[in-house]
This record gives sequence, structure tokens and C-alpha cells, in this order.
Amino acid sequence: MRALTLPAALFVLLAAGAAARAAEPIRLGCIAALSGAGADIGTRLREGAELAVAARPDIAGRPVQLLVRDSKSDPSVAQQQAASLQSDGVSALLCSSLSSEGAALAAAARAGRMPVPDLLASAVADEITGKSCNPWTFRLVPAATTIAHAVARFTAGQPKLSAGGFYILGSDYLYGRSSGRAFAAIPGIRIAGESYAPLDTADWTPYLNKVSQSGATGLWLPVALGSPYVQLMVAANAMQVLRHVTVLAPTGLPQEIIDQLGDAAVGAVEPASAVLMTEPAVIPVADAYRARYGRAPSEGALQSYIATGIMLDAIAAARDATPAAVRDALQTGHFDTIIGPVRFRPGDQQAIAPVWSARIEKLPQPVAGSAYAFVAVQKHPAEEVMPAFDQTGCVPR
Amino acid sequence: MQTAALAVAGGLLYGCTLLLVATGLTLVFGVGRVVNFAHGTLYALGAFLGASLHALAGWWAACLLAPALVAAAAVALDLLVIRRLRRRGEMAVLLFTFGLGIVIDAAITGIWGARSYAVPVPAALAGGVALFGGQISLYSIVLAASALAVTGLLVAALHGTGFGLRLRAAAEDPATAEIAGIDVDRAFTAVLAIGSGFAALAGVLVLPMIGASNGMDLSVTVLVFIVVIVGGLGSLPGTALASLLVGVILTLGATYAASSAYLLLFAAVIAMLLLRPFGLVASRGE
Repeated sequence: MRALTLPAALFVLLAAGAAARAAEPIRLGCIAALSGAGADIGTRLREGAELAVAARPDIAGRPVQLLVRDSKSDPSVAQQQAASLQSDGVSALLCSSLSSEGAALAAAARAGRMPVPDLLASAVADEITGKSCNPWTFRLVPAATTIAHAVARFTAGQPKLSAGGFYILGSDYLYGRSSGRAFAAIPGIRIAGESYAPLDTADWTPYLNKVSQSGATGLWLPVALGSPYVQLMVAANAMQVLRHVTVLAPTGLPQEIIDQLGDAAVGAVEPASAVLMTEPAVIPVADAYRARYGRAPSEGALQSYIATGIMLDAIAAARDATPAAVRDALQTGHFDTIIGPVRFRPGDQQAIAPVWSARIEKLPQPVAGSAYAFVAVQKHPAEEVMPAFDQTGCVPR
Repeated sequence: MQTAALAVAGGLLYGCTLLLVATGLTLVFGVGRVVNFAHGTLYALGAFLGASLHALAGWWAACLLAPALVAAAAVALDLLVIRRLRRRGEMAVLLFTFGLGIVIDAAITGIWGARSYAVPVPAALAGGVALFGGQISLYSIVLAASALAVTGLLVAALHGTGFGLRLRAAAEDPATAEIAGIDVDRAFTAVLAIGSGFAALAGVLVLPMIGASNGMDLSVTVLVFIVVIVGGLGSLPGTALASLLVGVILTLGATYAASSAYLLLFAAVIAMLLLRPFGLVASRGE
């Protein structure tokens, strides 16, 4: 009898240990700008990630825990938060609101200081999957050059739009400059003028006057998401610039601003959207978001929902929540999402997914309570608009 | 040339908005020797309150009620906290207003969420005016005129009424004013209410031009502090002159050297302070 006691006790201990491991939460980090100029977009990204986790609260019996950290719209704070989340044992990182933050995290990963997979749901600067490419950074949204190629395809069929040329009005930081450069490099695009405003610009009047004086019929607008974007669009509406110029918004407009601008927003174009609330497969998610948060989702929220879903799928496929296993699953997996199948290109780890050119229209039936939203006008297959790998500047390490 | 003229015109209009915000700040400093670091957040609070009041009760209600509510809150705060802190010295009040700004900022995010609000231009003020080959929105002209009118009324009240006389006496020499029977504490409460109301009014008036969004106070706070320092601490004429100057420099910078607009502004500020260390119009015998 006594001879059996020791093995039995060991078995009980091992079983208890295994049960404890099984119940240990899978931690995901969400570094989002929840304060500062990017608070608008950061909050949407957090909400999208929360919605995805709420829809799938556990993987193989282990609860999923989303640890949210505020980057304060500051790349150096984003890096500090990433280090802190690594100490907390996260399996992966999500959200990353701004290009400058995404680039800072990618640079840290490339330097070997951040060995944890990071799936970017919002940042579009080329550099992130270009010269800062590394095995840990993945991106769902199209890069600035992909967006520019989609613009070229879209404007080719819109002679009126390009009749007076395009004015580039961007924020003077990584995203604005990167997107502006990529746009100006589009073959056949005529640039009527360009300005890059300081990030904390509140008075957009002089810039909009320059747009009007240039005679441009199209306005390329790589302006920082959040308050600068809102202030610019409200000012453009007040100055009636939108009557003469078609806005091409590289990263969409916040849905609540579309709702509030109403008819004034109709006609604005997003040439390369990663996800549209009005697509049939997306509408149920938009409704679920509205049921949870009381308003329609912005594109950022939907992108974050998709990115988080991909990350959860990768963890489930890996059957192991260690950062290296999750990274490997992301690199080799094919993921079914509400925008169709998504996989990541080996090397730069940019998502291979279609993008849509869309225009703000008054909807025949409200979607998630919104009467106005971007509606698809042209679909661009990934292979038509993504730059070839050797043109990205990515040199794998 | 037309571009420059348009930029100057736009800068003067923007300067008038800065004037409305900066007047409150300089007034509070002039009378109470209090550097109100929460002033910029009161501007943002006015904008968010205005957006909600606009949705509930319309434009005019927003213009009247938002400044009144913020002014009332300032009075309550003065009676409960600031009046006591002022007896402990300027540093205590300065630190309090610094913390207050953070609290108000967090309260705005807590109440209105991290989202933006747009308010359409009132129908009667929609449209633009052709000027120097460009277009200036009618609303921005009305906004500037309103800012000038409200500031003008304040100046008239300060120089043409008994109430204004008491405020000026309290600002000039608080100790002597107290001996002469002027309630300096009450005078400070009044200027804090007026100054806070002015900041909130500016927040409401800019709604159709820039909306209300998180972080909207950041750039304005920097600019109005520059205005008040360049104009001469506590000097209303100096504040007026500096507001217009800062508006024009920023707009010219934005027009001709967009990414260096702030650099140009700071260079100009340094030059002005080297030439006139106590401000363009020094007050109280500096």
C-alpha cells in the first residue's frame, strides 16, 4: 500500500501541474494610442481587438487575456510598453496605432530587442515591412506603395478626378512623408503642389488655401489619424473646399466624422481600403461592434478585429502560445477572415490580401446605424497592387 | 504677392481666435498672478460641452451655456480650492492648475470618449468670401469679429465701469486695493470666471472650423502661452498685438515653409524676447 502512495502522489502533482498550465491564460498585448493626437484611432483599434477576443474567449481551454497599454501616441513609449508586455509574458502584440509607433517596434524587433510577433492593424509606412523588415513584424493593412498602386488603377478610369492634378497635403512625419512619396511616384500622376504640416497643426486654413489656389481637382491626404485628420476635414468642409476637390483618403475617415459630415462627405474616395463595413461578410461584425460600443466601427476597429482573429487562429494552429511558435504559425498559415483568405508573404511578412477602392455614399439601408459609409467601387487583387518583394527595400536578416 | 496677402489675412483671422483664448489667461495672471496651466483644457472642455449642447439644444444654446457652465465651475473651484492655495503662494496654485489640467483632460476622455465631434457651420454663416485670389470662409470672418467684439467689450468694461476699476486696482496693487476696501479675492474669482468663460467660448466658436477632438488643447496651449509671454504678462494690449503677430507668423510659415512653421515662430519669439524681454507691451512698470 505504502509502495503505491509515492507514485500516486507524483501523478496527482503532475496532473495538477498540467491542469494549472492548461488554465494559464494566453496573454496578448495591445499597444494603442489611447491618449494624445492618435487617441481616436488607438481607441478603435483596442475596441476591435476586444471584440475579437470576446468572440473567442479561450483557445484549447486556456482563456485569452488582452493586456492593453497606452502608447500616448509616442513611439518611444510604445517601445517601453512592448518591453513591459514581454515581461508580462505575452504571446504576441497587436494594435499599434500610428506608423511612427509601428516603425519603432519594427526597428526594435530588427535589432533583436523584441522577439515577439507583432501584427500591425493600422500603420502603413513602407519602411515597416521594407528596410525594417524582420521575422517578428507582420502587417495586415496595405503598405503606402500598395495604396499608391491602387490609386493609379483607380484614377486611370477617372479622367475628371485627375484633370487639375493632385495636391498632396500630409502630416510632417513618417506616415505623411512615406505616403506622399509613394503617391508622387505613381506613373502619370500630375502633382499640382504639396505641403507637409507639423503634426500638431490645428489651423488648416493656410494649407487649404494653397490647395484651392493650386487648381488641383484631387487631394491626397496622408494626414495623421485622430484629431489632425478630423480638424482638417471639418475645416475643409467649412471652407467649402470639398465642393471643388475630391478627397483621396489613404486610410479612410473616422466613421463618426462621416456620419456627422453627412452629405458634405459624399464623394470622398478611399483608394485602397483593407476592409469595408458595407461588404456583406463584414456587416455582422459591424452590427456586433455597434451592439457592444453603441456606434458603427471605423475601419481601424475592423482591421484590428481581423488582425486579432488571425493571431488567435495562429495560436490555435501552433498549439503552443510561445512567441516563436506563434511567429512560425503566422509565417506558414492561411487564414480565413471576413475579407477573405489572408496569408503573409515570406520575407517582408506583408499580408497578401485584396484591397478596395471605395467612395462615401448615402446608403439605401443604414449599416450599423450609419446612413453614410464607404462603398466599394473597385476591387484590386493583391498581385496587381503589391510591389514585388525586391522593390520593398526589405533585406531579411 | 496674392498668396502672401491671403496668408496675412488668414493669420490675422487665426490670431483673433488666439486672442480670445489668451485674453483669459493674461487676465487671470494680471489680477491673481496665477499662471493657469489648465487654461488650454478649459478651451477643450468648452468645445466638447458645446458639441453636446449643440446636439441637444442648438448653436446659440451652445454658445451661451458652455461658457457659462465652465465659468460657474471655475467660480466653484476658486471658492473651494484656489482661494486657499493662493495664500500659500504662487507655486502652490501653479502646481494645482497643472494637475487640474490633467484631471480635466482625463474627465473629457471619460465623459465624451476618445472620439471626435463635428458641428456644421450655421446655415446663415455658410459660404466664402473671395479675397486675394483665394477664398476665406465667411464663418472664420464672423469668428474673428466675434472674438474682437467680446474682447473689446471686456476692455470697455475694464475701463468704463466701477467693476472694471476695482479689477484694475486689484491687478495694479492688491495690498493697497485691499486697504481701499476692494475685495481682492472676489475680484480674482470674477476674472477667473471671465477668463475660463472666454476659453470655453473660444472652444465653442471653433467647433465648426476644427470640431472637438482629444488633444485639441495641446497646440493651442503652447500658442497662447507664447502669446501671453511675447505680449507682456498681464497686458491686454500686448496680448492683442502678440495674438495677431503669432497668427500671421504661423500662417506665413505654413504657406511658405510648412514643416518649419513652428521653427520660424520660435525664432521670432526668441528675437522678440531679446529685443523686449518684458514683452511687446510691458505692464505694471516692468
